[in-house]
Amino acid sequence: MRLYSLGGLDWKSTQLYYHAMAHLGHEGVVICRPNGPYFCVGFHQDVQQELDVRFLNAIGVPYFRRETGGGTVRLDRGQVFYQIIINKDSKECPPNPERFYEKYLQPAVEALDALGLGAIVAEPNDILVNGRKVSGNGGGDVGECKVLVGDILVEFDPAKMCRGLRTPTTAFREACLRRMRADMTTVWTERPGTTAEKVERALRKAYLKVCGDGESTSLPANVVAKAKELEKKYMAKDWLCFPGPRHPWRRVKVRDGVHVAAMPIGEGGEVFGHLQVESSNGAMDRVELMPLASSARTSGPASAITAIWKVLVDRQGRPRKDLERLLVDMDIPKERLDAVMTDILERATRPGA
Amino acid sequence: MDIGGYKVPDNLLYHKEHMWARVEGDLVVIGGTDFMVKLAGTVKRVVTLEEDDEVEAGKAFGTISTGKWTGKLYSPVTGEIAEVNEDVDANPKIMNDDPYGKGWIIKVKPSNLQGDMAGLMKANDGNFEPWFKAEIAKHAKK
Repeated sequence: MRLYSLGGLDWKSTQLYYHAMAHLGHEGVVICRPNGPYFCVGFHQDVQQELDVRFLNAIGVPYFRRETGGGTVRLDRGQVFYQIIINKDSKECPPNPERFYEKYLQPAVEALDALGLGAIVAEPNDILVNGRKVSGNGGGDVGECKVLVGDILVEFDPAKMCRGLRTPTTAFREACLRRMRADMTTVWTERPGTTAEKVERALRKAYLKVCGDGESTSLPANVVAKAKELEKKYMAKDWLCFPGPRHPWRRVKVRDGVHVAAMPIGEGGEVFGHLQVESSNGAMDRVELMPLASSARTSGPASAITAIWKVLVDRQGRPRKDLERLLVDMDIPKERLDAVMTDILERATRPGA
Repeated sequence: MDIGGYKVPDNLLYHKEHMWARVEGDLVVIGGTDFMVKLAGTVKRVVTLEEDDEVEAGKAFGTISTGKWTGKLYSPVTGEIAEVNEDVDANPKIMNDDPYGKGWIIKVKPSNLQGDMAGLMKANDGNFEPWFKAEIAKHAKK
């Protein structure tokens, strides 16, 4: 396997090259950086539900839907990418995604350690420094290969990220921003003065240890040609805007185990507010009711509480399926579902909630 | 039947990519095994080819996403998709809750059933259990 140190690339190439390598069965590790900003969603995500597409179009920030898993990210020149492409039948390739992440995230951790950051992997696929996420990763089967795509946040502006997300209310966007500021960090924050170039060098050194075939600064011509061919597919509207399931809620994952979600509350087709919840590690940190008009916190009139109750529980007083599905989507463990739903109902209908 | 904590009903046929098949009249019902969904984690989304699309034995007909990983779903038989389970589309977690029942994924009208069945395994075949235990060891999380 060869290491390809490609430096700064136009944004599309940072995505198209690893897809091309996977579809050709061309193994390797790619280290690169995008020259400009863009948003990228995971394979299973719906661009229209994830992103404020109108806003992004207006400011000229493009977006991409990749073939690997993971969530929505805003990428720009403040981030350094590492992309691992390996044949799924290779004896070097762990068959289990968790082991795959473990093996191929280790060099990224070593690179951060070499820069004095003291990083750890938070299973399955986040890298943390001082308990906060400094690197996001996603993976999947692409062609006949397994692929891991990740980035180190050298610099990152959560406000720009949140502005590009589609959110039901301003309060929801503010909650996402608050959680990102609390739960994410950057190399620059932890070690001021550490540039993207330094991070790139550290990553190259660390990943060279798993690449027995040396290093190149350019890709073979067939990979570049394949990337050009794939560009038509990945930039076509039917790929980019492939519709996902329409959930009644909106959820944003800040990092593994940390979510912000909102579900509309209303009756007879009229939405008068949102139930907004924040979770970390399987428990609810916040439960709030947000009226639609002002998005300000409210205790709500008694009639509103009654209406909320009707929306959240069925005639037998059991939590409705939508609430249960939202919690599953927020990675609440099965054995905690009942307790968490009861907690939400109590807090949501408590005066002053 | 239970092997290593994974349910393996003995009335089904199994494909090496951890898919199951059950013949129902002139159709073959296809889903992911208990082993596959337990290994994957909570299923967040399933995307498949559509009704009337052709599928080929051993080739991917869809993808399964758990948020952290996007994997492929392989067809045990060749034929034409007769039905896609809309419940799995609406609530993918039923693949975790009931992988051999409500969590079925597609129904296929097979075009080479006898030939394809010869390449599939039964839980009570003598060599199934050793193979399955080797798969558990190979894929074990730790």
